[in-house]
Amino acid sequence: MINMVMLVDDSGIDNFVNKTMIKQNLTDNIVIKDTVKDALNYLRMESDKIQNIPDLIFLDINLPALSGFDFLKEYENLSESIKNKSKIIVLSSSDKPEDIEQMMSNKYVKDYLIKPMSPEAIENIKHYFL
Amino acid sequence: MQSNLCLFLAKSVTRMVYFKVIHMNVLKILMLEDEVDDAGLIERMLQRSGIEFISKLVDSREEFIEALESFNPQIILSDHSLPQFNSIEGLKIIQEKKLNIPFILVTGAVSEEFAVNCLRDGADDYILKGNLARLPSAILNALKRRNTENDRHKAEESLFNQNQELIKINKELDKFVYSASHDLRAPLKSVLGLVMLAQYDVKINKYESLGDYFNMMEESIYKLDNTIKDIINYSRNNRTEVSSEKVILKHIINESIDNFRYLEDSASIEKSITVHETKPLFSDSTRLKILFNNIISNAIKYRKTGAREQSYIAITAEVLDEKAIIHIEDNGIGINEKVIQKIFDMFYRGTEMSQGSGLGLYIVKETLEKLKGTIEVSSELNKKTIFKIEIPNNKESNIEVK
Repeated sequence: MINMVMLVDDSGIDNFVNKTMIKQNLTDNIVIKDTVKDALNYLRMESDKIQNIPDLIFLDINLPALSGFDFLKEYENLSESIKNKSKIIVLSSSDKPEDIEQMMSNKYVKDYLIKPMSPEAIENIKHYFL
Repeated sequence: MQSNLCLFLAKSVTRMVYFKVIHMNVLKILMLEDEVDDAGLIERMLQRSGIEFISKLVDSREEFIEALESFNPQIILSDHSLPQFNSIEGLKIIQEKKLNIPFILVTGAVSEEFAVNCLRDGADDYILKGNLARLPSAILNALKRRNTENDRHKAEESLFNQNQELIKINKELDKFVYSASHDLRAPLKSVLGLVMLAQYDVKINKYESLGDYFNMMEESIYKLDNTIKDIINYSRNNRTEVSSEKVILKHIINESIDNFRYLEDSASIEKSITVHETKPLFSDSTRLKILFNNIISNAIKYRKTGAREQSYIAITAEVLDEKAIIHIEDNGIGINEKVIQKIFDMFYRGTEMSQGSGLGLYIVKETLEKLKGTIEVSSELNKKTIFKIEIPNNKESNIEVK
């Protein structure tokens, strides 16, 4: 079951679009972080309350200051309970082969979606995880 | 061992030609020859042909090497075999030292095979002592050929350098195209997402959110348009010549501030502009506008929101004879000292608040490079940021006025 989703993206509009689609197709329980720093802080703060740890993290690549790649480096150091629960899906507007390859070779990244998110993409995710 | 240095000048030349000859055409000939009589014959032959020259005669390895450095010959005439030295070794020394000096063998009778070998080893020509009449033209031909070769080498070298430069520019262009296309596509993808939401809502007869969708689409489209404007500014700065016209700095600054009056919260920011403009400033008004637009828009965008203190932008400028000095200060969020070195980099976004392309300050830096100006930044996080700009006053310059 997917009970909770986290969005890590600096674009307010993309967060709005993604939140709306996830609400329509997946779950109402969505936490939005517009910087990598805030996202990591949230995960560290909530690491004891497993119900507050998202089942799915949609991660953008191109964020100011720390990027999606930086997020993954730090994610590695989080507790096993978080890493066991959260599945990471990259959601980026980049279709650069190097980006896709580098992201998909990370063991915590389960899929790579190119923006915009679509109801079909969410259906695929549901099938994959259920 | 004998070495003699003598200057021969053809007697028939006029005084005018003599000067020209002295400065440009006196040929320095190094003769590797042990028979002084033979050397004399060669010199007389050259004298008769009208070639102006200075010659130095050597007959040993040590003298030969020494003369290459001190005499700096333009051509070498070498006998084949000397008591302690020979032409093949002489040729080798020239090649080892990578000297580009023509080398002509002047010998007694040799076999055809020997002559061919010498030419193969790098000699320019060979002349039999019995047929010295051919020597003057052989010298001129060898010099001409070397000159052509030199020109070709220089052209090849310059072509190679140009090629390297182009490879570098192409790499930068690739990087630029990738980053720029990402920045151009991201807002389009946002619009596409919004269109999908709108289509879904319309399908289920739900209309109340459409207004919000349109507002967000508008925002994305403006963002895209701003990125395109940045790219055009960048490219224009690279391609257009710097102009120099009389500009009124105060007007340019006011115009720039006025550009942003519709920007969110711009009106609530206190702005003070003090310009001392007793001397006229000659500079490139288009580039100055680009500078001020980028720095002032940053000061507005990165103001402190929700703070109790009044946000301000303070601009002071002074025009001197040789330059204009401008300070732009704000009490916004400031710049983290860890990233302050990178803020002028292409596509670098220094703060998590950035919604821009990461090109603004890069364009500022590039524009100032064109204007031959400088920029310095100092900042205290959450306190203030000051940009200090110096722009040369081109009053006396001969930059073409548009």
